[in-house]
Amino acid sequence: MHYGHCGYLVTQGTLYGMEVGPALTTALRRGTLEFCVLALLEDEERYGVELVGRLAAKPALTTTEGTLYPLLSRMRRAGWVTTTWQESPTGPPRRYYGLTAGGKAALDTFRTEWVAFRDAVDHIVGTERS
Amino acid sequence: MIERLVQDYLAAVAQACAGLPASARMELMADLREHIAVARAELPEQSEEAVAAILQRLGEPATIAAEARAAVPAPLIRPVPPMPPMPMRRPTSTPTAAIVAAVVLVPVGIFALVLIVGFLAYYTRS
Repeated sequence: MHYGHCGYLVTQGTLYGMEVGPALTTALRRGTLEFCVLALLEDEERYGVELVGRLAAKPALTTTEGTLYPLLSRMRRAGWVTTTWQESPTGPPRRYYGLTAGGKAALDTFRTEWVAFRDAVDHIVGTERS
Repeated sequence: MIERLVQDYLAAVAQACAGLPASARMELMADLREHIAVARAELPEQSEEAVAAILQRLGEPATIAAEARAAVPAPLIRPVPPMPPMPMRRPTSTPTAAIVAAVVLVPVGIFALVLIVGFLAYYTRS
């Protein structure tokens, strides 16, 4: 298969034929994880190990640190993040990731979209927070 | 032993990513190498367990490769092969048109001939 099969089924817009659990978290992650990255970079630049570590530390996001690097590459290509090398006193130079104006705009758009989407789903599915 | 651990891991990732475009694969390998180097530098001591933990947090090579494949941009819509040109068809088929023409035109033609011969005979009678 050209894609990992979870990704293929996500672009087809269906989860048929797969266990709901892993396919579901993959589908949810695909649309949202990059915006979590943008939010983590909103106030400060972070270096790679720190950035992927913070995200992978959340079990609900079900992502390992290594899988975040392809995502970061894509965000670099999209012009949402830039990287700079900074010397470190204690080790090799580190690549720091920072938000671009385009990335900030994307994050702001996501915040609006996400709240509306999340509220609608919570309402329909019956998981509204009381 | 630690170096072997790291090299085996990176080799496994590279192999799992064999189907990726070379630039994407090289970029990912560079990112992972850098991650391992930076994470190791932060360890209080270079133990095999600690380095193994770094690799475990990075995750399974197959999982990373699957994510890398999903991140490679692909056309959203697969190009559809061009349709073969439709053969031009007449509204009615040729044989039917020919039969209709014959059935209609032949009696008309005979009638016209009869008229012409009749007129000629009438106007040329002496």
